[in-house]
Amino acid sequence: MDHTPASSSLTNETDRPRGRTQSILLVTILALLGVVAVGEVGARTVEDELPAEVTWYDASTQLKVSQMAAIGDVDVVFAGTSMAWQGLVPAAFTDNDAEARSAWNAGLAGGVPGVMSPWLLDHVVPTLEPDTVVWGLSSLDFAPAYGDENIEAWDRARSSDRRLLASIDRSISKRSVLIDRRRALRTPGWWFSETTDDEADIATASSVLGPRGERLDFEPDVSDERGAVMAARLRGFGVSVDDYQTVEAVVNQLTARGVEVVLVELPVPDRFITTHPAGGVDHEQVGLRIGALGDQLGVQHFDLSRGFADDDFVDFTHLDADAAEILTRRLAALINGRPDPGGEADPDAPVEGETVTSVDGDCELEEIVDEYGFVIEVCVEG
Amino acid sequence: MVFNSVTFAVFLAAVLVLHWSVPRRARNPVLLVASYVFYGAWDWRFCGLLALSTVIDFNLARILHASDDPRRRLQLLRLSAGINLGILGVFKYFNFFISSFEDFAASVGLGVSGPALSVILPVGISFYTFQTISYTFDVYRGRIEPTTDPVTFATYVAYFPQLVAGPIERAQALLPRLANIDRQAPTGAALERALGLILLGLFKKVVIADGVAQVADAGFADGVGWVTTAMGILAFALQIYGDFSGYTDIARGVSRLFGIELVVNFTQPYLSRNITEFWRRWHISLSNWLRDYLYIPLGGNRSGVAGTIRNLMITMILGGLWHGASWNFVIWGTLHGLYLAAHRVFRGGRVPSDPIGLADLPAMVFTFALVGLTWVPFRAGDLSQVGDMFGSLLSLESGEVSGGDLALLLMMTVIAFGLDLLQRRVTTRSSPKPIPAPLLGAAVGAATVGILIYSGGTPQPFIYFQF
Repeated sequence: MDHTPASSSLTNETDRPRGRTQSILLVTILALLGVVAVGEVGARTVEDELPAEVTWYDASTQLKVSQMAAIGDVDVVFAGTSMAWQGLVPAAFTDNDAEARSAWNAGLAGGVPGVMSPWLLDHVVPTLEPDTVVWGLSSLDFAPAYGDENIEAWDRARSSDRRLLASIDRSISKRSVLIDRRRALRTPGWWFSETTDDEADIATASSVLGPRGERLDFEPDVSDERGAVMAARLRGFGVSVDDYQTVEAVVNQLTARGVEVVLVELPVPDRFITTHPAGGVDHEQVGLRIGALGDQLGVQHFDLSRGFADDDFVDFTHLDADAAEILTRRLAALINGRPDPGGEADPDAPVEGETVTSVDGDCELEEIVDEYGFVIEVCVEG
Repeated sequence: MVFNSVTFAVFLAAVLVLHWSVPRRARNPVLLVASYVFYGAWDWRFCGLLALSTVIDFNLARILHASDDPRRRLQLLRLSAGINLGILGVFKYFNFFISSFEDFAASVGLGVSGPALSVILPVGISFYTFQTISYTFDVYRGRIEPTTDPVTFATYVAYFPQLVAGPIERAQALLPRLANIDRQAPTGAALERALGLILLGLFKKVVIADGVAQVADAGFADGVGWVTTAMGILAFALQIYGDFSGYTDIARGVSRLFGIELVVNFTQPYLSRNITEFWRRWHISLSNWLRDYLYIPLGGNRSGVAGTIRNLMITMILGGLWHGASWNFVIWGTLHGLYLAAHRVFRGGRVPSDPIGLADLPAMVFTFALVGLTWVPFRAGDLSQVGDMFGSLLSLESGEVSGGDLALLLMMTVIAFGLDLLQRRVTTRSSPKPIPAPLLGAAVGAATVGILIYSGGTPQPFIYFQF
């Protein structure tokens, strides 16, 4: 049985004279534009009531963009993952710098080279026009199993998406509230003053963002689950060629723009080193590669990976507030040509703890959601 | 390449220009190549299977038709069905049956471990295998003669507007339309209708289906109260309807741009007054296929009450299994089978005539509620979630309810049912009047504003693509 009805359209008209078709078309188009105009006016009317949206890589990035716009020029910018974001304190640098140069921290959570590249080159450096960029690096920057989702999140964020349609969207959004705020318009939670996920993220990010871009989140977490997440990120570790080449390209571009670049190997606790598949051997490779990169590109590079005890870290990768100040003072000394005052721990102490292999025969893979909201497989000891 | 993406829009524009530019005899080859490009965009490896199914059935049907020996004809029919169902069985059901057997063996104390196949389910396999099976069946029954044109047949199997999610087209209907190389490009009112269908389909998909998706997700999450669960079920009912009927509208509109009509697959099913009527209005091409190639050959309603119930149950259970290799879909099919059987036994399976009126409202609400309950196993991740959701519905804990989600759901419910009532009114009028241009423009404008507001971000896949 064919259910195709004799007339199956809303118009149900058969052929009509051409002139009449044109006038109908004109009236239809005018009515269409009229409704769209009403929609635009409506959107503008309620614009102030609409909840804030995160259009950047994450809420912290969005807040940092606003901060940059307010700050203007700075002399020194710190860059890197959250390890650099939390470990390098702009105020401490300024206080210990011979010229009291201003500093701002551009580090981002999950700010691997693929994220730092567009962030620094397209946004931070053009806005702040620094003389120096200090890039803090660690094995997470070169881990093949880590960072792809972060790069994709950057590439797909509304404000940083480089695709043609996204560019057109941004261009139209500058002129149309209906287009710009459509995501907020379609979720009527704001009618009831409900807090959206974006608003909650912005509030959280705001609470841990310092006045110069630094992160102020010193929540401890050395749980087994956190260790499993780190192990998953370091699975199959070997210095990724792509990441290496990305760092190289960014340094070259910054240098070509007259920006001095300093590469820094960041400190990590023993519990992080032993999470690498080959433990200290993997970790040493990173230091050697950073040094080689610095030599190859003719930029300064400092090894600040030692001199901190495990107690100086709140988790597997992030320094506590005091240790971050120490790290920054050490960096300032080295950049100013002074000797490294060192940390409070013995820099030559051997790595303690057994290497924990990330995957072995007794390992069950379980999916969990990490701090970025990405689903990753972690090894649960069977 | 999903319909609601810019990539598809560019692809469609290119194919349309090419199709209407080449000599008439080249139109079907253009459609055929475009269809394989479209299908290959999902995964190029799927094209081989599609081609294999096409070649086998094209030749088997011709051999079958040429044979006068009834036994040989039946053997060839069984061979065709066996190959197509075998392909479906391997790619879709193998792991399900193995794991079910393992579970059963474990439950009786036997530790059995069967082989597992690591295969990707080819997109649209359930649709095109049913389409080719129906072709061979119809040739066997003498309803149609097999086509001698391999290009036309291959286009019939692979025709991209309906390849991945139907409608399941009968050869009797689609083959002649494809064979007609003198088909005209739509102009004037016909072009309006085609574009109108596409716009309507996009609106149903982008605004209604994707709009309520978050409410459905919240309702099917763990640990929510009965209100949120009920909202989730209603939301999913709207989502799957908007998604699937929207897809079909786009498919039909796109096909009309090539001058080819596809069958209507939905006729406002949620306005049905009983379950029998529902199945004459929901996924019509599948329900007709099941009726003609399964239910009737089993004996239909000619086997007495018990036989009719048996045939209904087998048909609906297998219809459920067609949707996916999971016990959830078996439960879904079983529930519908029970509903239909009960309606047959107690109400004779009669369907009231149009038009509908206010007096039909209680029956519509009741039927919608029955259907809504079956969406629970359809959408749930596993059997335990089915139990959790029904448990939540029966609990007295309302839990936290999002005012925003409730407002969104109510708005979409009004829009969806309003659209359906309007369409029902238009299609049941004996002499439908044209919609005034200003009103039509306003409606198109509203649909456009809705699509603009609800667009942005990664296009959501159509639900029925997974079948």
